Amino acid sequence: MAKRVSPELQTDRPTHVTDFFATDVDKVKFYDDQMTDNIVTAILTLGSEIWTNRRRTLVLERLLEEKGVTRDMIESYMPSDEDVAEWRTERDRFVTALMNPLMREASLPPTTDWQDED
Amino acid sequence: MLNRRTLFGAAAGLASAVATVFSKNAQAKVASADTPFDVQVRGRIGRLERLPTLNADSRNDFFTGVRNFRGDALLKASRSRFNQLVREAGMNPRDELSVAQIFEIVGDDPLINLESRVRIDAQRLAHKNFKASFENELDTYLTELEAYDNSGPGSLELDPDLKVPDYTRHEIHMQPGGYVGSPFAGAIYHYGTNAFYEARGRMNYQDESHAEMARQVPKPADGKVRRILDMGCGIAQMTVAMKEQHPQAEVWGVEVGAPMIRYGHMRAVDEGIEVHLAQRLAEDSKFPDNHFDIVTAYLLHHEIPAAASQRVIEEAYRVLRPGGIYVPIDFFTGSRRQPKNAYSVFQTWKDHRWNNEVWRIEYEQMDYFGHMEKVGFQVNRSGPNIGQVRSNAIATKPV
Repeated sequence: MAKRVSPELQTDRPTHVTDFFATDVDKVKFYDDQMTDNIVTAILTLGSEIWTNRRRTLVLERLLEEKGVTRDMIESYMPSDEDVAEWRTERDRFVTALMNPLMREASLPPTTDWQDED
Repeated sequence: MLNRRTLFGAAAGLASAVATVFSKNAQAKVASADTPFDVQVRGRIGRLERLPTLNADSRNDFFTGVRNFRGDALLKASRSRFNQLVREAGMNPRDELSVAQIFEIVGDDPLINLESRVRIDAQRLAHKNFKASFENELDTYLTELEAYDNSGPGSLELDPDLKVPDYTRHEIHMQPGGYVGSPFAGAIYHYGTNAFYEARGRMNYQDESHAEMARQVPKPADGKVRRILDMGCGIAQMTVAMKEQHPQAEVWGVEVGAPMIRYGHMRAVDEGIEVHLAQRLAEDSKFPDNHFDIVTAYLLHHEIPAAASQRVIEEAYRVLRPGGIYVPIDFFTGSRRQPKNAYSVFQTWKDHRWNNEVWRIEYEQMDYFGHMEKVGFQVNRSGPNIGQVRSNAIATKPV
C-alpha cells in the first residue's frame, strides 16, 4: 500500500485539500546500474535549463534589437554587487536541481507491486 | 452570490500586493473590468493563461518536446528493439507474455530502458515545474481561487464534510498530491494534460479536443436535452464543452477533488460559461431520480476501482430519465478490450504501476458493458468513436 501523507503548505488559508497516497515512482530504477537512471534524469533537467535560457535569449534578442542594444554593450556589461548576489542564488538553485538526481538511491525493480509502508 | 463589481472592489485592494510579488518578473493584471481577481502575470493565448514565469513556460516547453520525442521516435525504437529481443528469446511478440517474463527479456537494454526512464522523468519534472510555479506564490493564487469561488456565471459547491474515498487519494499520473492533495491540482492537471494531448497529435490548448468530443456525443432518441450531468468532471473541460454544445441546457459537473472544480469553475467564469460544479461523488451525486437527459463520464471509469465503477453506472441509471443516455468515454475494456501483445503488456504494466494508473487493470478486467445491462440499460456496445480513446458504449435507459 502506498504511503499516506498530508499536504504541506505554509498557509492558514482554506486550501480544500486532504491527505493523499504518495506515489513511490521516484524509487523505481530501470537500469541495472542506478546511476544510469540518475544520469538520464539529470540530462533532462539540464536540457530544460539550457532550453529555458536559450528561449529567454531569443526573447531578449528580439527586444534588444528593437531598443538598439548592441552585442558589444552586452559583452562589456559590468554586474553590480546586487547582480552578483542574485545570480549566485540562481546558480545554486540550478546546481542543486542538476545534482540531486545523481544522488538518488532507488531500490525497487520495475516488477515490484505496492508495498506496505508505515 | 457576490456580483462581479463587489469582487472587483474587494480585490482591487490586493492589486498592489500582487504587483509587488511579481514585480521582478512582470506586472500582474489584477481585477480587470471583466474578472473578479484574475492573476494573469503573462497574459493568455485564447483560453490558456500562460504560465506565471517565462522560465516555467520554457521548462514546460522543453518537457513537452521531450514527451513528443518519447511518444514518437523513442517509442518506435523501443518497440522495435523489444520485439527483436522477444524473438531472440524464442518467443512471439504477438503473445501476451507475463510481466516477469518481459522484464527478464528487457534486462538492461539501454534503449528500452531509456524510453521507460524518459516517460517518467518528462512527466514528473513537468509536474514539479507546475507545482512550484503556483506554490511559490501560494497566497496570491489562493486569493484568486477564493475570489472566483462565489462568482458567476454558474456556481461552485464545495463540501468540506465530504468523506473522500481512499481510492480517489492516489497520485494518478504521478501528479503531485493527486486530485485532492494540492490546492493547485487543477492547474497541474490542466498544463500536464495539454502536453499529453500534444504528444498524441491532438491539441487541446483551447479545449478543442473536448469541444470535438462534445459534438460527437449523441442526443437521446427524442432529441430532448434539458439537463446534462458530467460525472467525475475534473477541471470541467467536458462539462463546459457540453454546455457550449447545448447552450439551452442546464449543465452540471460533479467531482470529488475540490481543487479540480475550483480551477474548472474559475476557467468557466473567465469564459462566461454557465455550468454548475459540485464536490460530490459520481456514485452519490445527490440528484433526483429521472433528472437528466444525458450523463457523460470522460476518462473516469479507468481511474476508479471496478466496484466504484459499478456504483457509478447504477447512479447514472438512477438519475437519467427514461430515454436518457449514458455516454462514458474511456479506454477499451470488457468485450472491446484491445488484444494484448508482449509490448502492450509491458507498456500497460508501466502505465499502471509507475504512471500510477492504480485502477487501470481492474477497469480492463471488469464486465463493464455487462454491468450496464444488468442495471437495466440498453447498451449499444459499438457506439460512435468519440475522441481518441474510442471505448464508447451508448447506454439508454428504456422508456
